[in-house]
Amino acid sequence: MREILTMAWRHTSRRQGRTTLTILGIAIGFGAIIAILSLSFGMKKSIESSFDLIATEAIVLPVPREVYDSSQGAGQTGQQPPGGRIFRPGANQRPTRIEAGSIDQETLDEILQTPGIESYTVRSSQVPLTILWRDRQIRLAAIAIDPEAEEQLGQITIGSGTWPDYREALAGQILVRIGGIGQGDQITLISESGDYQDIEISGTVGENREARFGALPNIPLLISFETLDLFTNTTGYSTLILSAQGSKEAKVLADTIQAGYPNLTVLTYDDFTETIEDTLDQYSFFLLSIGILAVAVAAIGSANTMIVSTLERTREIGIMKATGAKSGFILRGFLFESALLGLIGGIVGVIFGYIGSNILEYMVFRLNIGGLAATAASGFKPHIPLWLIPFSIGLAVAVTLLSGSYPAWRASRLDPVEAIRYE
Amino acid sequence: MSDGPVVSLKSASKVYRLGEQWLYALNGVDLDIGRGETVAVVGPSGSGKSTLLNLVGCMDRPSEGEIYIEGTDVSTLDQDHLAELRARRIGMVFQFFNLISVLTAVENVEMPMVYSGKGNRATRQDKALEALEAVGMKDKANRYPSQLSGGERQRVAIARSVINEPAILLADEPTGNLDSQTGRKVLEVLGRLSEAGQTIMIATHDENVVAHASRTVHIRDGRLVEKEVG
Repeated sequence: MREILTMAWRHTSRRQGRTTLTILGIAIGFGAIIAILSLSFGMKKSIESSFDLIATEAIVLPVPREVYDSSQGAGQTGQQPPGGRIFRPGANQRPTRIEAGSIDQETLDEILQTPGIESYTVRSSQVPLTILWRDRQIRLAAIAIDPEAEEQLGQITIGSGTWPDYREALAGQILVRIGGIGQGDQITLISESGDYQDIEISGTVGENREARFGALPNIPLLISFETLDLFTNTTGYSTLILSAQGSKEAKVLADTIQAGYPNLTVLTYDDFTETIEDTLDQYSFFLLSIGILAVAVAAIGSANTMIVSTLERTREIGIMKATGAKSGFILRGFLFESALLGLIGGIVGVIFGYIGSNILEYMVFRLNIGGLAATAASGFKPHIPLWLIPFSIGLAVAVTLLSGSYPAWRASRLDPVEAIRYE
Repeated sequence: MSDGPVVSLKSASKVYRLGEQWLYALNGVDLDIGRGETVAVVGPSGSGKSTLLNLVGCMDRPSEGEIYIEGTDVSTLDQDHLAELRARRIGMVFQFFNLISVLTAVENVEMPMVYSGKGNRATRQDKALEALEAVGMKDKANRYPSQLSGGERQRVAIARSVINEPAILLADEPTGNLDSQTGRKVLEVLGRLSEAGQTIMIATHDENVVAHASRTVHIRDGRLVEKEVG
């Protein structure tokens, strides 16, 4: 055994160029698979870690309304029959625009009568505003929140400062990063109708590392409903978040509200994770296909290396056979060599996978390539489970063993007389 | 171990098919080699010397006839049994040395013991060093073949061929790729082995080799044409 290993190692290390390229091929293939899986695992882990917090919550959203132009007949908004589907006034008519719906105060009061609600919070629709700050104008969207209820719910965390009071605002991470605005800054907010008010930044939104569907990671400015009244007369809410005692109670609560209010969409943790996992699975499947293709190419590369190796060493095989080596010894020697390529390729692949997962995370979630960041939860980190390391290395060894089995078998079957004459 | 000949060929033939024709590389050869003999096989190129050595060396099987090594009929053995016999009872020395380039001299010498599963690592190494010492190569035991001269490589190959104390040592043109001075040194080594009782069969063109043989057999067109006692 030691002699087989010695020969395999020396042959492998002597052909440095070819060996390096083969190992690189294997490492890239397995690195790609590890990187892709680490994103998927990281995402699922991130969601699971927030399960306890989210499982007891239900989020109520109004169904967007289709608005039809008057020239098309009715000049009316679509009516929404039971089931949430929107009735269209005419068979060939198309909506001219989609309006984000809202939950009015009356509906909210009715919903809050539903048994099983432990606590709740509401949020306004996004209100377009312009910030005037240090001679700069920044157009952004603000959302009104109920600071006390939000604090209790814990979906939004404070990075610095305090929750916003009247004539105060909480700056989102995006505004801090891009606008350079921080706690204590005085800004002027201008509404679309031209009303303007001086506002103080009471604090900044913290970086939420948990997957919370109401975490609002990309909202630039959060204000209280009282402050919102300074700019608009809009009433109604875009979001209602309810908290129940447990996950089962949250599901019952969601089903009850959904049954009573077909014009609203009620989501629970299950709906949320299902959506994310579906999206993730689609991405993972696509990327995994590329990874598997890369592994197939690596396997072909490895087989090619071994075929060339057996051809080059035909005479050596003849010498070994002439001096007493059995076919099994030759077979094992070449299989060991294949496995060695797989082992080194697998180890390097794990390192590549770790680096690759961080690059992918940066591309997909930070640069938002593919728009996944909006769907995905904030605070995501790629995760390589410990078992994936030996599994990947083992798989790399298995793949190279498989791809090297034909050349090894062919080498073991060589006729010693013919082989020793081979030039 | 039988008292009869170490090697015995009974009407041994090797036939190759070339298109529509059958070519007799060896044709009905009868030959016995006794223990301790040094037999030189002489003949022109293509006469069948190497085929004869390949058959006796169990690297090939006869198309017709029988071959006995120490009384065992090897004509019908399968590849693994032939390999085992090659490792344990046959030593081979080639014209082009045929050492394994990635192994050192001592590792090359050890290999037949590895193939036959003899001894542990330390025993094998000790025995390989002894064999290298016998051919005057112990001081270069850890050198790779590429770091050795032709004569040195051939001496290492001889050490490898005798490591398992074979019944017969087969040498195919052992001096054919060496200058006369180096060839003489190799012949001295073979001579010492012969004196020690090693049975040797040498295919050669070299008159010096023939002079060292106890018996010479001539081969032409695959047939033994005369046998003479040296």
